[in-house]
Amino acid sequence: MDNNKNAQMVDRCADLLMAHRRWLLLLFILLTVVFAATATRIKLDPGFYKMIPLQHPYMQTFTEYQKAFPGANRVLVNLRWKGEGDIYNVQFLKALREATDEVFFIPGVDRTRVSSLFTPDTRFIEVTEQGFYGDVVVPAKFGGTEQDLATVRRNVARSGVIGRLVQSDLRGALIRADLQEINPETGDKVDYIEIAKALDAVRAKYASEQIEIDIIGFPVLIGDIISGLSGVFGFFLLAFVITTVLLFAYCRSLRLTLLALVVALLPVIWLLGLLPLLGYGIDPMSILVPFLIFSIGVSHAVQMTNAWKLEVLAGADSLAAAHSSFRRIFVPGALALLANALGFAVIMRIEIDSVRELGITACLGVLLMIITNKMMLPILLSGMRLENSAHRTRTAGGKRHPFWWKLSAVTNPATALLVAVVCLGLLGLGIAESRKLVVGDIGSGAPEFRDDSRYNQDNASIVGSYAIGVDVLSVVVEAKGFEGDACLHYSVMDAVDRFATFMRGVHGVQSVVSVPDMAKVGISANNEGNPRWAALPRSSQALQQGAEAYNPDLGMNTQGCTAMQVLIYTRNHEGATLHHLTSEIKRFIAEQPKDNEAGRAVEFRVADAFRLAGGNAGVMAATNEAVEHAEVEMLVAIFGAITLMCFLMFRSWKAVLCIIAPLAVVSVLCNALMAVLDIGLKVATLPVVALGVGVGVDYGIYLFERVKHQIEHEGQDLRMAFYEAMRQRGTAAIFTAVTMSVGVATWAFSPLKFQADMGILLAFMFLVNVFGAVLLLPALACWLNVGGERSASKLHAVSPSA
Amino acid sequence: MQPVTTINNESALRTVQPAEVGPRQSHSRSRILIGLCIVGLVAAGTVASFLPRPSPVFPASSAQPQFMLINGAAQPDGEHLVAAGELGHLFHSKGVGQPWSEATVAPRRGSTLTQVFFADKSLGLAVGHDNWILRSEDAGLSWQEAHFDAEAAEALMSVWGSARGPLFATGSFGRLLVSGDRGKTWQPRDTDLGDRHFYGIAGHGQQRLMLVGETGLVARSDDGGQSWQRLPDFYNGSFFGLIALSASDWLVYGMRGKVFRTNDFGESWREIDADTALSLYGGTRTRDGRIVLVGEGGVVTQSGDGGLTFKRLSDGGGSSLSSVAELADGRLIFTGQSGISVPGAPAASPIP
Repeated sequence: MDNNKNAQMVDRCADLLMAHRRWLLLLFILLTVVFAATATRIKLDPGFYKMIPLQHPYMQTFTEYQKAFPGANRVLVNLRWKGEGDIYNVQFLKALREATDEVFFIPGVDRTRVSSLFTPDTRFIEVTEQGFYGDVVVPAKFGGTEQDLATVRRNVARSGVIGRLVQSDLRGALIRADLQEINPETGDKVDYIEIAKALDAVRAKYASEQIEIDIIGFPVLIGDIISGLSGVFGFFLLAFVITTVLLFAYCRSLRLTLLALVVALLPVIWLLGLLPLLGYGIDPMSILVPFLIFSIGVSHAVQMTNAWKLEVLAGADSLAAAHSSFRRIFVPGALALLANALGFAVIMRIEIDSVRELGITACLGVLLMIITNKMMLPILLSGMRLENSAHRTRTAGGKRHPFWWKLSAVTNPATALLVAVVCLGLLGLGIAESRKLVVGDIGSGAPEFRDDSRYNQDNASIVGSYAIGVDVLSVVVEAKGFEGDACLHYSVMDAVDRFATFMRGVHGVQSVVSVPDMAKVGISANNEGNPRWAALPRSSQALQQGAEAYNPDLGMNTQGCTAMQVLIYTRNHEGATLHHLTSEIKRFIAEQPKDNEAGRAVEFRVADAFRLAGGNAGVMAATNEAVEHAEVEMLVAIFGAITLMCFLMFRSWKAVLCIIAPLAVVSVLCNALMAVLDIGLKVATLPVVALGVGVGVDYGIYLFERVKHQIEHEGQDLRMAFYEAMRQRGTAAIFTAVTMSVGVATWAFSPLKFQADMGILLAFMFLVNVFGAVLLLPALACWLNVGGERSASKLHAVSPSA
Repeated sequence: MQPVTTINNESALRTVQPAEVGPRQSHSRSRILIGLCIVGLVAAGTVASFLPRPSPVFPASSAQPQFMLINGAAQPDGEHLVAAGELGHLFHSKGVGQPWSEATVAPRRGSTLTQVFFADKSLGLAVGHDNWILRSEDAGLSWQEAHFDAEAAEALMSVWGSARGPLFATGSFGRLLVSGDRGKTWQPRDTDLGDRHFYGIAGHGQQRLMLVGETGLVARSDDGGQSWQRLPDFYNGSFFGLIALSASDWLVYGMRGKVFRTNDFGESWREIDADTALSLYGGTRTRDGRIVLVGEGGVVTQSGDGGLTFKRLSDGGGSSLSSVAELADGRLIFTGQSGISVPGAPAASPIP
């Protein structure tokens, strides 16, 4: 029989493991020392492009044109005057000039793309009777006199930067800088942490009683995330202490407690040691993985030590107990870990590097646990002696455990039906709520932080003071195959102009900037600034008047206008808004005529030329679409994989259904919880369901394995088998659920919102999964007649001889 | 059913009460059926939960005057508002503070409109680039094309006239169009004034008209626009508009805050200090006699004494204004690069 063969093989493995336990232990210890040494080399590895789904069509456009149209990775430094009057005073302008210089010289800043009142790209145009002329807004010989200040004030008013570089209320001014991903001087990746430090230094230097400084941008974000992460160790410590206390309360043995902790820490150390060797760092997103590995490690260690303890209490010596607990636990344990690994591997399918790294780290950690937990732990146990304290707590053998016996009543058809109905009711509620789940961010500000964080306060303060927001979605318009400059072709310019005008009427758009808009300003300026002239003429020659707008240095179009971008500033970056915007853009594109009235193809086909999408909002829109797309794919993959694995292990479709159904219910409830708590489905929360299902399947596998064993090998009926399973594994399962939930629930206090969200959701998944496994699983087993058939068929086989 | 209590007891099976096999099997089958139903419900529910979720409903997209260049606004019947602007958009609203909706325009040309004018309560004219003239007979709800010429690459900038008499439209490169049939058809009229841009036209009564334009052009007609006399240059910058205060008192305004006033139908001119050096693109006289001029960067300057002295009400530094008009309730309606504003009025709900 298959099962017998398997059992024999596991037996042989156990023999081998125990026979070679000394040198294996030595090897493991050696490995631990090596990994502990390499773990010290691990570095945080944040990156802008790691958080982007680069395979998404939007991001293809984004990467193709990021050289031509930088700006998605932008830093804004706002100096706000808190004193009397407005910004036109010597003290403020001096601070602004110096701060501009400092930002300019930060390594990693693209020096051609720094703008403030003091940069040469900020110019004004003055129309005079003789024509018009332009100059920089702050004259070269600015000396700070009253007259100079008046000149600057007038020039700024004429330059059109109010609302863009100067606050609408004239009480603040901005320094805008674009960043490079690779430093061209050194060829190295730009160090965001260094930039964040440099920007913090700027803040510290120029902030005073009169001047407030707000800074936002990706490096600041990363910097703040990292300082938020330093709290992580506190949470780790807290989780560790709580786990220790719970462990001791559970097993009443200091030795076992320490052993479980050490063994649970081992995969963390191995993982942190392996990552630098594999060339990975720790992404801020994956910083939670070590916690998770530790929690899972504790849970598996508990299963093993519990099995060992039961053996010892039953009278076996340490070695025999270790041998037999390996035999009992290895298959379900390793299988459960494989299921975890699979769950994490599925996450790798999401084509966002930081998520993929999360998947890789978690997957690796869990696989390492098969060695540390399933091999090293029995070896360590074989050399242990159980203290007397642990002996005392055991109830006399043979007597039924009243709680588990009561619980096992869920295998009675009536109770089982009640449980099923309640679960279906919960599922119904869950479905109703989960339909309200939103993809993407909810609320304003950086989703990584809480609303009251410094970053989000800075963000709100900047957004509130300027006409342009910080969230921009760009559409690239390709105009290839035009004779000469495509910007001089009315069909091209008109299409872009109409698009920009259309977008201004779309709900959720704050403002739109396009090449035709700037051309119209130029044409109007050429006609004495008269707004009535601000229109696109139909001839190339007349379009020439707007030539200043077609300058590639402005960053709005390439040489010859073969490509130009339309910048759509959005009111917020909520997932729903971005979805609305992209679908409206697609609708506009689809509605444009392909043929003219005469039935001939139009000169410029919008459908072939307009490409979504760049800008930070474009990145977010692509990420949201990728997440939405990945969600279903991920669920199908993980449930499919778990189904397959359970089927291979149990060779029974009933087992599969009993294990999968509770997980499905809990997944729905998790989505419902997200909707209720206003947590959007995004990069940080997408893996939660996979992680939760991957970890949650443990309970089902451990329990069902025992139920099956009791029915097949001990010939028990379902209730008895379930009672036995709960007696042997249930305490450990519930204990595990509680420890792991507590461990991840500590993240809820993290200053980083994505950690808090993940913590709350994972805690929910871990905890509720165990209820699914101890209530719904047996209820389903009852109604699917698990064990019934077997006893019936045995009966059938036995009765004639009887 | 007697539960089994002992472990490893080979005789355990015998404690299960024997029963007839047939009914037992059918019983177990129906039990499994219920079990499968439960699992099926869970599966169906899960699938339902994870099916593509409905996206939240947003207000429909529609062109909004506040987000585009508007060059003229009017209140033909003292209640409804009409505005004309960029890309041939014409809007109407039931009143101040009411949402704007797009008027029907046939055919849509996409040329930017520069002026809207009502000859009476219902007859409206809108002019714009590509010598486009639109005409409405229902107070601006629907508009029909009366003239269009994209080939000439010209733009009409101003329109004036009376419902009974001729209607005039002036534009770039010395273009003057005249209609004698309430704006249904338009004929070009030669003026001998050269090919400078004509930016503004206005009249007083049936006979006296004046037009202003590029590089200091000022011309007058005292025969109802049949013949035109160019006045000697007194300023070399452009004039963007004019206001007829009476048969003899006229006021012209233009670039760099230049305002000139005549009290003898253009024989002599006096420069007025407009209290600004910013260009003035539009102006109006209110029923109580105030003169309000608007222009570059949103500057607003006002005269309470018939245009002899001006006081600036609003600085520049923002977006430019192109026109100003008085509403029936005495409030002013401004148009320009930031659309339409009526100070002191509640903002129109952005999207209906």
